[in-house]
Amino acid sequence: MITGGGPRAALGALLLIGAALTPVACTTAPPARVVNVLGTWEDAEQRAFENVVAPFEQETGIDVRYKGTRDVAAVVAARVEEGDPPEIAVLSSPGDLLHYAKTNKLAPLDGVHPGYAPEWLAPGQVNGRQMAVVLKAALKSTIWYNRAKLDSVHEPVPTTWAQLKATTAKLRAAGTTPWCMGLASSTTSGWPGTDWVEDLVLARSGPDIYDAWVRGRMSWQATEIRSAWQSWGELLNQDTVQGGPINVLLTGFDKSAQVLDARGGCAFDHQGSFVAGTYAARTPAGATPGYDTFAFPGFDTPPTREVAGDVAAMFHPTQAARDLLNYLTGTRAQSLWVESGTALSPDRNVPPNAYRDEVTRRLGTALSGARSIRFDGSDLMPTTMRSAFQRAVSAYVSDPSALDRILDDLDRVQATAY
Amino acid sequence: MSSTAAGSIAHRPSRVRPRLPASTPGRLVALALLLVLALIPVCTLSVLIADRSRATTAELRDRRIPAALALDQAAAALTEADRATATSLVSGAFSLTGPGQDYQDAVKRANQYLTVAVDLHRDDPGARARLTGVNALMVEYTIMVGLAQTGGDGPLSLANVFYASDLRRTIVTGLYDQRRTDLAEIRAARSTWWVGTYVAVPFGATAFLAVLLLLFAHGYLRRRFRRRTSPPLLLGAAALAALIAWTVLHAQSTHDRLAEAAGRGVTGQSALWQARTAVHEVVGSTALDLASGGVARTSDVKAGLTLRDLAEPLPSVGDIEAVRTGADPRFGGLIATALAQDRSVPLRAAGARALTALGALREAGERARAEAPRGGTRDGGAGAAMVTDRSPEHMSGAADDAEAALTDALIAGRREADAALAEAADDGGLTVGGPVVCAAVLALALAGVLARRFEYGRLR
Repeated sequence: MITGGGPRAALGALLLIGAALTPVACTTAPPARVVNVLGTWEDAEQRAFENVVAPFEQETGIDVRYKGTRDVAAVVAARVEEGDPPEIAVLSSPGDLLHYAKTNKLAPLDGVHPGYAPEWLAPGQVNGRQMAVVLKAALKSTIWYNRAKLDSVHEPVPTTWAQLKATTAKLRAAGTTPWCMGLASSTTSGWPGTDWVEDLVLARSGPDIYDAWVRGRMSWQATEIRSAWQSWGELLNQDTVQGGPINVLLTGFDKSAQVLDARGGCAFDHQGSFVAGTYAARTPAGATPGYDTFAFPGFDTPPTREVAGDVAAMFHPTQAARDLLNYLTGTRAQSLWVESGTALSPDRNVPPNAYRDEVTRRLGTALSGARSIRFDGSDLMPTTMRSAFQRAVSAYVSDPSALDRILDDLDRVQATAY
Repeated sequence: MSSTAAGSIAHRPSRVRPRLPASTPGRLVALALLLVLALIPVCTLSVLIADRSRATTAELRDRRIPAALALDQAAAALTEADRATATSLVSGAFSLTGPGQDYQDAVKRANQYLTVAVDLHRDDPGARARLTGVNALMVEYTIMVGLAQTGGDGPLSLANVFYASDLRRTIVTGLYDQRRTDLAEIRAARSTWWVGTYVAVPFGATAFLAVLLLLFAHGYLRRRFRRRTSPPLLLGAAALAALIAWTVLHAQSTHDRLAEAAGRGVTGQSALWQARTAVHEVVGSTALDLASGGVARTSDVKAGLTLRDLAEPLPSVGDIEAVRTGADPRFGGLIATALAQDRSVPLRAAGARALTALGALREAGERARAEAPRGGTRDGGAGAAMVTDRSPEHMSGAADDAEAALTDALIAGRREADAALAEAADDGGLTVGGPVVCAAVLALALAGVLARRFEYGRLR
């Protein structure tokens, strides 16, 4: 006879067995809020970005997952093609991102309101709607120089192109290599040369000609554009540039910053403000920097500074992505960013003392105080035009006598690129 | 009042602790029920162990390991393409033939391997995104080499080959990053509870309790039924003990074989593929140095592989002979990683041949740099011949010898790893045998106990 205790014991045993066979209890956690960001920053720039977003992650619980690659444009294109773009992509070229706006791949940035001046919002607008936004800025039209080397030839800081050429000649005569240049940059090799041509077009012919050219409404063979190439070509020879044209072609843009090399190196380096961290890192703490900067010299025309920026756009319109963009374009994040020494800010509310050294602080002030700016022309051009421009620069360095053919080729590209 | 009292009396038994059945038939039925309950987890665990270990092995063999190795293979093939481009440039043939047929073949293989890798990572969104990016860069790479061809043998060709080569390093870095992730996942997969040695502990404990219960049941029946033994119960206990031994041995064997194939084996094969990549890189870098006249590759692209990555320090003839006969390598590097703790004769012989070829590769590289004209060459000549010639004392020839030896080492290593994986995948009949034995034990236990219950009824 079985009493009432039997079934209960059996049930108890079953429960025990069930518990023993369930090593891990299953729980249903709420889905984490994640924003995937694909950008161009690596190494120091990536660390700076991670430091900037850390407070945002702590306060909102949103997980920002960043992936950086120098060839971000190609990677974004492939991922869009696969139907798997990140929530946010950050590129150096608004032209690349706005191409996706035309094919309705981008979400408008309604609700993202950075406190920037209008000229900083314009590069991200399509038909008056904000589709992309500058996250961090750079001041181009800048020449870095070695104070001691310039002093050695008893020359002041050049303010005109003629003075710059004269100082270059003096330095060469004194046995100092005047210029550092490096064009290598993986799939975008050649872009440092496009900056030269753009600065020369701006300085020689002014912003109206510049705008027309950038928008594809002026021939590459026009006198104003051809003159810019030829002016740059005056500096491109074996004696003026460290290592000559072969070195210019093969040296990485990030390794050409050799102004501080006392024995070799060069006296001048035409680079954007983003190399500030590189130069600052080579100066011992507390020491007076052996370098400084001056604005790209003019041709008796009002100075217009060329600027650039890393621009973000949203492929998946999530609230978390929108929150992140609002944070990144806010004064708090912008201040953190400039503290890292890897960026300037287009936000005029960022206090000057946020910049960590005197040289960068002056660049930041020049950026926010510039009366006339123009965004990097090649970055605004359609992708095809920009790639052709970059390759044309390499071709020109390789063989300056082929300028006519190169400009003719660029005109052919222009005819179909816009 | 009386109804309240009656109610309280009616509830009282439910609060009393359960009592054991007082009668012998009741105890026999309870015993039968307990035996059934004790055998259920034993059978379940046995089936699960066999099934999960088979599934894990299949996952590693058919997806995870080939996926990781496909990344190494793609990197090796792309670097071979890069080497072909660089040697063609320095030889002076570039303006006429471009990077050549070797480049075309290597690029095709790189694309095939990448396609395989993408396919095998299809269930991993993160990996898929990363490989989509790598695929885009591969296309850019071929475009850059194509652009280089338009520049003949001038500086622009050289520049574009440099840019392409830097991009190739970025691609290889991306592939290696994913491979590192894959290897970590392989380690995690082969360390899961179901294929670990510790899985035998809960199973053995559960089954041992069931055996004890069977023996207790047998003892109880002997006491109650004139000390007669119960053959079904004893047989059931013996069968259960055999199942314990079978399952524990299977778990141990699966764990060991997986550790061999998915641990040391896959690490060794990955190292050998990286060694092949390094051999191509050494030749390609030397060729580009000669073509540029020694302009340093000064972009920030991660540094490529060098001879030091292959073997550091380069072993002497005596050291190589010791390695061939089974001694542990007394040097570092990728080849040492592949050979460490592996006494396989074919693998050791191939490794020794590869190490010998590395010596020739280094000497040829040094001579090539010494003989190269100042300012570089993109039109053949003495230094270039030291790089491009296929005889064993020249770089390309020594690299071919090293690559052939590494290929043999890969084949030998692969054979061993496949055999270990096949053994791990073999359940030894446990998937079918486990449930059968369990069912038999259950039947024997019930037969042993319930037979006495019926016997008791007849006696009454």
